[in-house]
Amino acid sequence: MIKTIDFLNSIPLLIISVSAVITILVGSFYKKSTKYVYAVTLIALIAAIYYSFGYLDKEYLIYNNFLRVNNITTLFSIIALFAVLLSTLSAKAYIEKEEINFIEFYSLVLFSTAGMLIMIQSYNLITVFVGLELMSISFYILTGFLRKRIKSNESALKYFLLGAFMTGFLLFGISLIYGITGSMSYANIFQDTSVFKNPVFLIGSALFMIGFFFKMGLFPFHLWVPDVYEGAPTTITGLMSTAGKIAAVGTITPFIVYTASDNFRLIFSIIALLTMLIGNVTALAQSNIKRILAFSSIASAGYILVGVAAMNDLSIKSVSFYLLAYTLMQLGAFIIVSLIEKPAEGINEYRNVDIEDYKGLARTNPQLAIPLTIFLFSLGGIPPLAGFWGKYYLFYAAIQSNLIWLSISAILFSVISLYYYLKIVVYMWFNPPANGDVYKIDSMPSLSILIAAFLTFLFGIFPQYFFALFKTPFK
Amino acid sequence: MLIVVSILLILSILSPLLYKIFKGITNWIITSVIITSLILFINYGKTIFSDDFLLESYEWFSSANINLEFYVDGLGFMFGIIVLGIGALIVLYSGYYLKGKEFTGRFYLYIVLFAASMFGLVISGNLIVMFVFWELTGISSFFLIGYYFYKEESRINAQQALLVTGFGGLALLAGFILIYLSAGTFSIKELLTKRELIVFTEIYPIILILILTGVFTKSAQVPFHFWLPNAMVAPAPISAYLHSATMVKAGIFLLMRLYPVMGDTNEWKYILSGFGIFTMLMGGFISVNQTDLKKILAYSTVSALGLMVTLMGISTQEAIQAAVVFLIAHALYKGSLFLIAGLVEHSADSRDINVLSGLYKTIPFLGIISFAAAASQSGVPLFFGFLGKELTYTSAIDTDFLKIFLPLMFLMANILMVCAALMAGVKPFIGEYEKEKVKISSFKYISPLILSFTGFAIFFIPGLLNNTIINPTVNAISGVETRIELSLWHGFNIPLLMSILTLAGGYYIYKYRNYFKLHIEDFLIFLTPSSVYHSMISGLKKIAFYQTRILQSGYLRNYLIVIFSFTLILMILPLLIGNKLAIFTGDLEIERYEIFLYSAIIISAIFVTVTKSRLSAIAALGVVGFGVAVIFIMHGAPDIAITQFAIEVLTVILFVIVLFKLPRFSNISKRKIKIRDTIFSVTAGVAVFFVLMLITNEKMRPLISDFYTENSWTLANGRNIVNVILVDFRAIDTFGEITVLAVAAFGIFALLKLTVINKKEEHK
Repeated sequence: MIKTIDFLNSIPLLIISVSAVITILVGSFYKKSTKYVYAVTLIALIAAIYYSFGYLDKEYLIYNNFLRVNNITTLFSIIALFAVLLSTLSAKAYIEKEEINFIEFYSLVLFSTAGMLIMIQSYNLITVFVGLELMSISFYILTGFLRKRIKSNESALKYFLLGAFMTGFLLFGISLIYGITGSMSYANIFQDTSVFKNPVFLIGSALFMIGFFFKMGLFPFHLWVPDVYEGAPTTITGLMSTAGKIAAVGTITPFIVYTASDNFRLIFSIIALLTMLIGNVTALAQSNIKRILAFSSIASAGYILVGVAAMNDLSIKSVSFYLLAYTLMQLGAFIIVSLIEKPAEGINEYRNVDIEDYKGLARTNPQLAIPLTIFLFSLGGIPPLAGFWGKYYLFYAAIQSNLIWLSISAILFSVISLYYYLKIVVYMWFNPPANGDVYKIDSMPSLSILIAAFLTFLFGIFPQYFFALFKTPFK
Repeated sequence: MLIVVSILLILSILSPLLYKIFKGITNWIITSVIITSLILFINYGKTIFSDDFLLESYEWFSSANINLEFYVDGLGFMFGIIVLGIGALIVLYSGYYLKGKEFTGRFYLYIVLFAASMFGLVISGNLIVMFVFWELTGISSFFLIGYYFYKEESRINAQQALLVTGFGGLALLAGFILIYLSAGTFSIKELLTKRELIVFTEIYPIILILILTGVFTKSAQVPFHFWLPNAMVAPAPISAYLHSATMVKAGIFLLMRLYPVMGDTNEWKYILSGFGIFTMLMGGFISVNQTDLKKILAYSTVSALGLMVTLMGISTQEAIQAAVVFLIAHALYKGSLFLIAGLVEHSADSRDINVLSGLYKTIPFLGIISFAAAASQSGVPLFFGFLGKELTYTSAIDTDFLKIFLPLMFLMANILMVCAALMAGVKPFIGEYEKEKVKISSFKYISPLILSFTGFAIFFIPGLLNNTIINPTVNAISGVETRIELSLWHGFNIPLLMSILTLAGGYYIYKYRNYFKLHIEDFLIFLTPSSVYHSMISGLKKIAFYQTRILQSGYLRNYLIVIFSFTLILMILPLLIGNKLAIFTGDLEIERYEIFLYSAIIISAIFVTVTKSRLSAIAALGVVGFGVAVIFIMHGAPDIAITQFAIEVLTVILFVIVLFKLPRFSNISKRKIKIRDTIFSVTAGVAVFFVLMLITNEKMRPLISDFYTENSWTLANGRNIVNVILVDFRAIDTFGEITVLAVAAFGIFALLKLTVINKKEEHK
């Protein structure tokens, strides 16, 4: 059933999976090959991105209709791969600093990436599940990668237990959908629209979505986010909060846009509203920058759901653009946080992650303060940065579906978010330095910061460059 | 147009570099570049006069109907000249004002960036472009207000200003999007012809409120006015430029710009004049109760902004003309007064008008400039401000809107404005002289001098100004081609009488202002949004605190309860929506031995929760698991049953291994928590029961296994269906699962190794 041509039509996925396997094999025999593994990982990611661009205008169903390669899935894959690339690029400096520069790190990152690609491209409920598991289990381990640090262990355990629990919901949902439609394949599920109003299907898809809402960190499934983001190694937090979210959103959004009936719109709107509320308001009271960014990523999930709740032809466009912008700014911010962080002395705390430590950064380390300011302003949705167009499109999609009240409340919450982003900016620019530390920045992290900052501007000034990637009109 | 904006933006980026090279004379260089761009801009004037407008359009984001459009008509032309002209003077002044200060290079960057974005704002021909520039003015002003960053106050107020205007800006954006949805375009040129599509829609009130929120926050109308006086922590040139001459007028500009599109309706008239009147009176009252020079000026600016909003609310040709004239006059004299205040502060080391006096003797030249500005604000004949005041009164008298009430309100506001002018512009210079002479470099006089006496000069050539600026502006706003003569002398009439009354009243209040102390701020303290702002922020922080304590407790068990409850709600909702809450009609067909089996499962489940021995709990759980496996067998799924058996055995064994590692069993849970958990579990059970009932009620699709029995040999050449499914039909899934297991093994391996490491360390 699997044809040879299928391999040709899934080159990025093959590159990633094969290099994941190779890195782990090489690593287990040659312990000192970390440098080469790092290079191989980067090359694999770049190659995967490069080949992905070739699939933008294609339309394939491959591997016995388990995977689907088309404009939308390729686009989400590219964004996810790009997020992984940026964070891996900067990760080496961090894991060297924390003395966890093991080969497994890169293999796990690649495995999780393979999981993301499978998830995003899946055309079958079981495949979705497999991809999700592959990504999640890699993330559980990566979260606890600082295995001698209690915070890291705790967060890994929390993440794992809650994640395993949510998987149960997900599987139950899948089985209900299967029961009512008689198929696992999207091809058959999407065909019979009459079934979408069936209560069993509704329950099934609700449970299915909940599994992803958990990964996206939507209220009330967001509770793990601050704890895990705070406890995980900072580069991994960056990876999880961007690539992980892209994969979850990229998988569930097409499903929702295809199947969800209007019944869900109100529920989504309420969840979006509460998520934005909780994310933005709670961030106000935080002083740990990782937690602030965690809550801001919760809020971002809320904004994304605003676009999803619109459920119109703009949904996917707006969501994917926001994801790209979000990746640039959130990941950029996390990379900077990871550079400023100092290796722990004891086994417990992360050091130098309080916003007090960012005081006067503009004077001691302008090369970090300037890009961080750009990322924070972009997160706050200030033009002409990419984050502005991201929000603009989401709210525009919502207004088009007559969700004016939702957009206006989203705007109000954006203003609240401006408060805590500005607080950091004020600390950096308008306060005397907390300490005279000048942080060492390697070339690789600065390269990724530079790329992120440049693209934040580029897509802020020329958003159409991204929209040009939508080759086929979405039905 | 694009050239002018680009020149300014590039200049902004280069200015720190310029400062490094040219140091003290940087201001002259920047000023000359700004003046050059002003001349370039004025050159476009010819086209504007002949065609009424100038449109420049560049492809930008055409798929979303957003193009980089510049649209300059009389209105944009006037504002452009104000922004660039005053900007040049301000930069010139700043160079001397900030001499010896740190980060002057950055200051130039921000202020030129501001000038560029303000200029972009007034010439933009597309709502989204305008919004982008609108927000840019907010950002650059944020950095400018926080320029004295070592002051706590500066930091807080900078943030406050950006939050308030940022909030308005986003509301504006929502309004713009709604306009687009109604009219189908963002282009201002096209919007001007599509009034019906906006004014007559159902959402017109929403659009209006959103747009006005943006206008009111930027132009400091009550209840959003508080950020403006607080922003006075900025250096004097910033207050002069942003907070009196240009940025705060962006709101007024937008009102004028959108007047033909959505003005002159009842909602427009009443909302604008309501807020405007309230603002101009409140600003006036507060201003005369201040003692800080800059605060007086700030509140009188609030008052002036209120007056302009009111004039726009009146919506007659005359009122628009009055608003335009008043706006120009105000930009000139208020800018000058702020600059003078900065110099006064430098030379006398104080901004308290009770302390300042007799400065005329030390700095007479500045005194003359200041008197001229104050005279213009008061509306003394021979000064431009007089014209503004006359026109205001005339338009208020001539309209049927709010008869008698309106002129009275204007009279009151203007009287207070005269008093404020006397306090800020005259009081510091007269009276007894106390301090020794302080020298002020003569360059510092240039900017205030030009600003003050431009108004004076204009008075004598009103025809020129009228033809080139005022009439085109008024025509652009109202969309009606009319010509109003601007004459200096209307003869003895009611407006003149009112003007005289204003001056007399202003002087009277000034003289006896100590008796007039209304303590209006004490009185309004509960109403002032400044305190609302603070209590809102602390309220939000409280919510954050409680949500952290209750929801974000860090305990996994609490997280699970929250997640589970919400999931249950989501599961039940479709039932409620489908109105299918367990209408079970089918036959149960329960056998006797099944009842025995089910009750065994239920009893063991209950036993697990109440037993005090871990071992028996595990055993009971095992019973539940095996019972479920038996159910599988009864319903014809032996393979799943076998899996279930294996898993159950494995789980029990694992439990037993772990058992030795656990601390002693003790009863930790409190009674309350136990009750909570019980209620929660029972509800969950009942909910799941209903869901299951529903599911058994639905007709399921036929089995998919038939497909595999038929096709496993023909398609995949295998007779063992399970094998074929695993390695062929679902091979990719199997592959994935194997990988998942391998990855999981990593994690476990790392943990095992960790215990080895720990043990080694213990040995050492």
